[in-house]
Amino acid sequence: MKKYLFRKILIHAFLIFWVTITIYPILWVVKISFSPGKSLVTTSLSLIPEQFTWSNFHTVIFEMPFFRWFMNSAICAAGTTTLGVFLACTAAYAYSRFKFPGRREGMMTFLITQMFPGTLMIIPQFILISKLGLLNRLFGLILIYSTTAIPFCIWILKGYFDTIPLDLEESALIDGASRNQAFWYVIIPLARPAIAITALFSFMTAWNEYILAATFMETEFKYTLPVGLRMMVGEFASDWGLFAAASLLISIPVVALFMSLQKYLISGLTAGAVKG
Amino acid sequence: MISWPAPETINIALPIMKEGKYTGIVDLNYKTPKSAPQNFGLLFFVMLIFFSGIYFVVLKFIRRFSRIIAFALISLILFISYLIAVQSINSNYSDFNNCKNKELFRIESVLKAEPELKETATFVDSQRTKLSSFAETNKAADLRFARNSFVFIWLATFAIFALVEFRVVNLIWKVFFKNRIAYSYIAPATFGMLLLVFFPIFFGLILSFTDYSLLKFKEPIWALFIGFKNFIDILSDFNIFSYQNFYYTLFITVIWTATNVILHVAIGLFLAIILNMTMVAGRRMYRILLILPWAVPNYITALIWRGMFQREFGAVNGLLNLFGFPSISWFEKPLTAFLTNLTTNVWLGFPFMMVIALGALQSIPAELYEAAEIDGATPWQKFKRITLPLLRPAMTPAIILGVVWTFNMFNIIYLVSGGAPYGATDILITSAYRWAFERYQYGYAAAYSTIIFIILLGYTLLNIRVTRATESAYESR
Repeated sequence: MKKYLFRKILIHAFLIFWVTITIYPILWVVKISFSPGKSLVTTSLSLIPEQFTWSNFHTVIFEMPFFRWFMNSAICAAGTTTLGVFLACTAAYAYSRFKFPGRREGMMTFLITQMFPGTLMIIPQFILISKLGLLNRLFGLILIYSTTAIPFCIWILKGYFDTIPLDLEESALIDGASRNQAFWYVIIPLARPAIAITALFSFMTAWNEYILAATFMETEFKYTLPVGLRMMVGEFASDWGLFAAASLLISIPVVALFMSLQKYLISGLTAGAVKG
Repeated sequence: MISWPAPETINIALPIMKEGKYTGIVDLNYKTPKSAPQNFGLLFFVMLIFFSGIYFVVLKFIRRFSRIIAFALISLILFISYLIAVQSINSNYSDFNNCKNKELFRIESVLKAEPELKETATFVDSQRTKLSSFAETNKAADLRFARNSFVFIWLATFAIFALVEFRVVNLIWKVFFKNRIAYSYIAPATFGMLLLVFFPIFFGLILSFTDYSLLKFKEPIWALFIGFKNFIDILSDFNIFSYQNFYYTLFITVIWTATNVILHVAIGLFLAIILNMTMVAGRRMYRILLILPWAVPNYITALIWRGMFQREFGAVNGLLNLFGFPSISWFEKPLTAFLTNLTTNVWLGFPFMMVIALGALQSIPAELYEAAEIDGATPWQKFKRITLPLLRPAMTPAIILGVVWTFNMFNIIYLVSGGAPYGATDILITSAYRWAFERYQYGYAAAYSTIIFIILLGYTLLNIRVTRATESAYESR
């Protein structure tokens, strides 16, 4: 028993050490966000600010079009999630359930698109979006984000759909349901973990993306949060207090969402892969 | 190259001087006819759809011989409409040549009559010739456009005709109809991908064979075609001691990817195994805290770590000082700058591998371990013989994906070290980005990304083949 106790202590010590490494940078930002402007000029490792202040948050929320950017990001992320999950679900269902010419090739091609460096697709995408008249419109961003998120979502969803037994839909079909009904009322509810995960990733894609948003959105009024943050803090070096406060405000929604969905993370991500 | 469409307006405002005194002003404002190729294009396109529609309707009811006649008729109608288009272009421009030009000519001759206004007259003359040459250019371009559209549409019609006659369309239609449900399910995603992903990739591939840059933005792509020059330039530069060299950057990229993925997998796997032990209390809490880095937007992570590595007030140097080490200027030497990137990305990336490994571990049936225990296996044997092989199917795709992501991990490199010092820590994707958006050599940058693409594609295909081989080896055992 004593041997086990020692081992337990060792394990907990290791875990606590590792947890410290993971959360220290985050708490460090929290500290800076509550410290007055120039207080970064200390090497102290303490996580408690020497002077406590709300001024950084006040500046970010009330002296910048922060709310507007927040709304833009929210609309963008919601649109991307809806569109992306819809597109990925239907396609993944077909790839999982039907045998048709081009199935293998289609899956492969989707995977291959992940390898082309995204930053270099900006120029053609810019030309395309401006030809479609979607420059400086959130809808343009939504289109681009949801299509770039598709391949990864399809891979996850397909893997998950594969683990759902065929019998379930077949019995629904025998009972007189149409293909669409079987898909929407049988498969989709069963695939909830995987759908939650793809939704989460689509949301994060849209919420966190910087370069495309900076290229396509021309007026300050249309910026999303990352672009706004960049503009707000200039070259990111000038005012750390503001940067910290803004990044906390930006991170909170996505971290909250992530944490609320994390229970699906393991089953949603690995169900398909484990089955092999 | 002819710049097309040519400038359309000319404004002439000339003071008229008589015996050194200002007497009036000639204010002329002339336009060349606007070329309207878009309209022609649209017209032809509508005609194409119209004709092929008729064609398919007719197809159902008439015999093969009559179909050939129908095709001939369509060709004839197309040709006539081409002639009409040419006629309308001609009249559009002749209107200009006959009226506007004549008016200018009259003004010119009036001016010429006055000896003092001779200079003005020659100016008007030069403007007049310029205008008509613009008009000529526009007219030529319009005619060319009409001709090309005619040829294109005729070829398209012919192609449809030929496909029908050789029953290719029938075959395609049959396959399509048989799998219509499947295709209708993948259609939306495929359409979106075609438009917004495949097209840009295709365009990028084409760009890599051109000399496209900011200065040549207006020129058509095909005029800038330079073959494999970009690739040869990139690949034949063996000056590997320059930080901008391709092979040096490739070396850094490979080291970067390998160290990252190895650390991600090692840390992730280790933590997963610990978190999977039933005797550890508070596992849920630990797990939630440990995946936190994954949830934070990665550009923010990058900027936080950049701050942590600041020389004067960064927490990392603070920690070093605490243990009595001197502060380090992290971004001044390649090695330390590389370490900043590495630390950031390891911090950011291990939760993904941890979650995947946890999922895989949970799916391993406990009976296997029990059986092994009865047979007297040591923990190490159990790990090696049971855990590792069963983790494989889940970890392999995750590792492949991890390699691809890390290889193209733009944000971290760009925002943490920013390639400092002097591009020594740039990886391929960030240098491609610099070629495109700092030096505006789009063609060159596109060639860079094509090479990245080829490397990753080769890696993945090889990997899939190897995994398949090992899988079959496992199965046959």
